Amino acid sequence: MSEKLPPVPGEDSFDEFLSAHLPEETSSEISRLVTPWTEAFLLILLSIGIGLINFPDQPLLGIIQGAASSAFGLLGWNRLRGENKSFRHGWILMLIRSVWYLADALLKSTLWSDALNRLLSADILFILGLVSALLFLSQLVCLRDGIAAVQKKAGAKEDTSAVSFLIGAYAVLLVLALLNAGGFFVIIMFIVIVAALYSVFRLSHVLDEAGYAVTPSPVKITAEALLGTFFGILVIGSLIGVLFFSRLPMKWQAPEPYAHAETAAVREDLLALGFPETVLDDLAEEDILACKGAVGLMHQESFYHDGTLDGLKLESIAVVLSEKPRVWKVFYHFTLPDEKGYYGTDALELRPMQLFGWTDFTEEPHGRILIGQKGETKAAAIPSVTRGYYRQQGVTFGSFSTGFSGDAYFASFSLPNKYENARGYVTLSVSDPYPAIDFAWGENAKELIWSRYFSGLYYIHQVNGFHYPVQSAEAFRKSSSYMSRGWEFAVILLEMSWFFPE
Amino acid sequence: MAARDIIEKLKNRDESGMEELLQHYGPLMRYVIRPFLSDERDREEVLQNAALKVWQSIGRFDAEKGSWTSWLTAVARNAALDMARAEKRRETDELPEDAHDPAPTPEETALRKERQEALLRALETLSSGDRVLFYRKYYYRQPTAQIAAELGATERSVEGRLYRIRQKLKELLKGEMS
Repeated sequence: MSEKLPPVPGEDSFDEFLSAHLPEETSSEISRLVTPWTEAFLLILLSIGIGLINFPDQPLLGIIQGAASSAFGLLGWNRLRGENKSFRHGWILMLIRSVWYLADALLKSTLWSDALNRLLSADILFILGLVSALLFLSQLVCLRDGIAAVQKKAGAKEDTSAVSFLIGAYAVLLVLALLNAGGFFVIIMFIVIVAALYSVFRLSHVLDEAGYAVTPSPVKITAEALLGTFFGILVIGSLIGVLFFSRLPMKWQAPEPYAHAETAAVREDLLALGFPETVLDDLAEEDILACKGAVGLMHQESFYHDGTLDGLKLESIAVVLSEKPRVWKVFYHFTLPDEKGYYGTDALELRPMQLFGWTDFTEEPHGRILIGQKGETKAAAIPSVTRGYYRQQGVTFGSFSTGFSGDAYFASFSLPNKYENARGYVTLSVSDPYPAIDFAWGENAKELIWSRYFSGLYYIHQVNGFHYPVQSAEAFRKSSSYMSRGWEFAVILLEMSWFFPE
Repeated sequence: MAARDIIEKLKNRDESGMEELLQHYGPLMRYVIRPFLSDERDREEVLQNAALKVWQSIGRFDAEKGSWTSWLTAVARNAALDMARAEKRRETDELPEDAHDPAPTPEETALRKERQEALLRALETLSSGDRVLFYRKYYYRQPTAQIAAELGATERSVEGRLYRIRQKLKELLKGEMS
């Protein structure tokens, strides 16, 4: 071993030692990584690249993609914002896009998203989507102008062809999306996305020489603070949304005693006709009174035994209010098995198979839910009953498709975390649209009634509280395929309800 | 224009190569020179000196031994270091301008090489990010504020990281320094 130099006592001497013993030339890796722009620029390109990829019908992936794109974008644009006017504008657009993303992501952690989608017209939703896409396009323009400004500053030849190509490609994608192009255009769209991603890769080298002229801004907000704030709002806000705003508002209160003297008499008449007492006990007074003068009654009881909600009981009761004209008041009463840790929404879907049989409603569906809590019974009106057309994705066998398209009623409600003996009912009144047909009770009439009043009834049950984006049972049902079961909802086909005299 | 074309021109003593060198790699050389000198005129002078040095020593550049930007960075850095040292000498008036450092003895050269290798070995134990940070500070001599801005961090966090890197290297190089 050769003779050692004197020891290095202090920090400064050690610094000198380090500087003095470095080789004259660094490795290629070091010279490649030590630049004022590479990291910031790559973050921006990552944000753009991720933003270009689309995950249709994968909302959760879409949320993760949006979070990654926003986070990378915020970090990258934050560093370059002071370099020139265009980069500063890019930064402002990034902030706007991130706030937009957060608002959308947080809204999706609540049931308000569903409600808002129903409330806003398709035109407004379309305009919102367009504005979002135009913000992204404007940011690409800022990127192009910012790069040109850096190249000019460095005295280099202006070359923004890669980013101009990217702007063109995104504009084409936007037009194809606006046209809702399908078939052959989907292939074109895919090719354009690949080309756009390639141009993003080309962009990574566009500042290789001129980029050394970039002077990044001192960061006012550190990467940790920026990401912490962004993901803090996203995660905590989403948790609050999922935990506290993913249920329908239910006004639980003790059932009020009957206020009218005649209610007891109507009750007696219904019991005499064979109305099950347990169901009758759950009816609101106005629904009992609506059965005043009933002349007949049909009743059917069924149990559901299979995995989810094993033991779910359904009782379908049709009260004949009048023979001529023929008017029925129908009750669908269900009793749920006890469950722990209930979250979100459930819904009862009424889907008449033969619509013509159900067109003449004399009373819109409504109902209420009852639960037992600490030995007391509480009731709340079903807060949401909607009717609307929807088309469901189905499995096609030749000319037959299992997918449904048509009108359906959804009675949606929520239950508290802890409950016992939960049950509820939905009721509606219907008049027979073909009173001329003689319903002489016999086999032919049975078939006829069967075909006309054959009514599909489904129970959509939320099986997992922590799903994202938050969806109501109704929204899930409308967006899922026939009888599908997601990890968050189960669709239970209750026995088809039909009414005919025995 | 590709670096290969510029190198080719310079090797062929084509003077247009110098113009292209400054056009394409002027920003890189200015970036390397800036931290060493505060005066803009000095920086421009060093840039010219470095370009001249490239012209003179292009024959020594071997693409197989290292990258073009590494070599160019080294040339610009050495030119800047020379100017900074000369400035310091002028300011402190320690040595006459024409004084030269005595040539190192063979033992000193061997010891220097040994320490250099030890330092490189120690640097290999750092993470890629820390290694880059180290080079920014000790090779490129970039001020903490510049490093912080370019890495999107605060000066305080950069200083903290540098402190930890120094402590680790001190530990690893204890034998070399005792």
